Amino acid sequence: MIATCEVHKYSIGRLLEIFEEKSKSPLREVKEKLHAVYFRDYFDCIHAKTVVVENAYVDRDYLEDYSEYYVRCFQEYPRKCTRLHFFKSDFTLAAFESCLVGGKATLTPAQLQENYLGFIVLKPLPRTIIGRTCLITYPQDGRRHFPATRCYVVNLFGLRLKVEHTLAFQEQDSVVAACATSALWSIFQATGHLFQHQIPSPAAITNSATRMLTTEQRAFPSAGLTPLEMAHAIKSVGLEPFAVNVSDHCSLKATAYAYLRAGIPMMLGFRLVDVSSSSSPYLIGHHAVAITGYSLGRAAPEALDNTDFLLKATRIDKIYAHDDQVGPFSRMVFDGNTIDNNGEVIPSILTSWRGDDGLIGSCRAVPYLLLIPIYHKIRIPFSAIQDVVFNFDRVLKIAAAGSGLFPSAQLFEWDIFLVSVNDFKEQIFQSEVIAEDARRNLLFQGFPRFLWQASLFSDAFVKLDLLFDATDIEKGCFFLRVIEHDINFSENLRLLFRLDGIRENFEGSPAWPIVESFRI
Amino acid sequence: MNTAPSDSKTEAFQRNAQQWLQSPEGRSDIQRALQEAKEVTARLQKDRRVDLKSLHEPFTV
Repeated sequence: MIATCEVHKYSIGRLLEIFEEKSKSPLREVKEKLHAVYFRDYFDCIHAKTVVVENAYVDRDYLEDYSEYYVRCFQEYPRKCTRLHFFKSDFTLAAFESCLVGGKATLTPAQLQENYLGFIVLKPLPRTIIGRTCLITYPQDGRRHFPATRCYVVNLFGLRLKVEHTLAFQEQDSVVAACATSALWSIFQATGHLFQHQIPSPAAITNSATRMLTTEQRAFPSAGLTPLEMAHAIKSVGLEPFAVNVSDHCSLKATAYAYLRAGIPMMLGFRLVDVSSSSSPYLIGHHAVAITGYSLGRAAPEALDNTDFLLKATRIDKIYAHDDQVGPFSRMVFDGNTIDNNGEVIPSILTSWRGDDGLIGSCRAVPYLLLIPIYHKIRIPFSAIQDVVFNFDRVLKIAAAGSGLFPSAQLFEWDIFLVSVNDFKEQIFQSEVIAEDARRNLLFQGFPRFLWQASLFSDAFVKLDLLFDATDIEKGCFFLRVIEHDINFSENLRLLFRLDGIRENFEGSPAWPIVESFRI
Repeated sequence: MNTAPSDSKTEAFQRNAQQWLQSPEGRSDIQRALQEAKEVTARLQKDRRVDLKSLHEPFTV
């Protein structure tokens, strides 16, 4: 009889043996998976020491996939999974059992919580074994940010544990889910929490994606979803799909950052290209991942599209993605390398995929599409805000150059992001810079549920925020107001924008409502 | 009403800025900058448009 609980000292070798034992996949296959490399590095990084094995675990998502497909197979597949829990402290089975029953324990529930790193569900399937996985993120150190995460509560033999900041991940099984379904499933884990919609299982996502469309493909086994089918799945949970072309890396960084800041993850679609043979890179196929975080690792921002417009988002040097065939929070690095495709130079991103040479990183991503699931009330897209702010930046710079004010105007940097009214008010509540009267007014003022915020930085200090109504209509005047952080800076703007001739020259520009607000 | 401190530096700035704003060079600088901004935003809008063909290509990896 199999024991319900086992405790093992962690090592990557032991972990892969557990994978083999519990999933019935041969060790050779388990070792060949990219997940094996990924988990080795990740568990080293988060200092895993002990694995608690919870046998005969019932996983809701697997059970739904099981009832949709596997139960009807002639071959018998088990319906129960195994869940592995990871801790960054050493303990034995005896100490763990003693902690559970409250005997003379050397180990306490509080210690277990303090050292808890999360869990992996192992599915009893051939090859595709990584089920629902919730592991803590890489340490958040001011450079790495994981805004699209939430808290997961775990019950381990009656012991309540929490993974505070994570987002569930799972590998595609290539039957009820391909990469697009797995990416959507992870995305819905966050949006379901954020916008209160039901979180469907992978089988339900594939079903809803393919229900409305007539294609020559069958739904199960799933060969993959198109972006259009993914858009249908997004609509089926009550959200609106918003697609953006992100062939340009600045555009990818700026758009992803703007929505991620509000906790909204998104699907990134890219071409996966094997560059291991330098003479002829070739297309492996189209792949979808869920973007869940970013690293602001570049020392300086990049100018947008050959202009002098600087966005904080362009400081991103890495994005973190739930790539179902690599792992959760896997790094995609903007290393500046390009792919030469018969003379055409294509910007690309470093991935953790292996090429034909077997080396990690010899497959590169060429991104082309972001699909963002947004709440129906968020009607003004990021692009509309960026365009207005870009125009205001131009007005500021040309007026500054002509008047001699703001000698550092060329280095003005903008931070543009979506924010909920609650988060915005919390930000105002905590501000130590905004004047008391202004804070009182802002805290008592009514605002729409979602706002776009554009903060202007000069010499690393925020000078002002522009607020826009994200729920308005694009043809309307969605600019709401300015929040002043630096009185001298604002006084200089008033001085400048109240001069005769300003209206005559700038009225009609998309930035005029902002300029006008300084003339009142 | 101007609320900025009205010291001599400020007055000098106001005078210079006003002159620049009303000069033919100033007006031409402004018109050129606004026109460039219009062109850049139009280009960005075009670049953000999704290739409809790509919406039908399945993610199969």
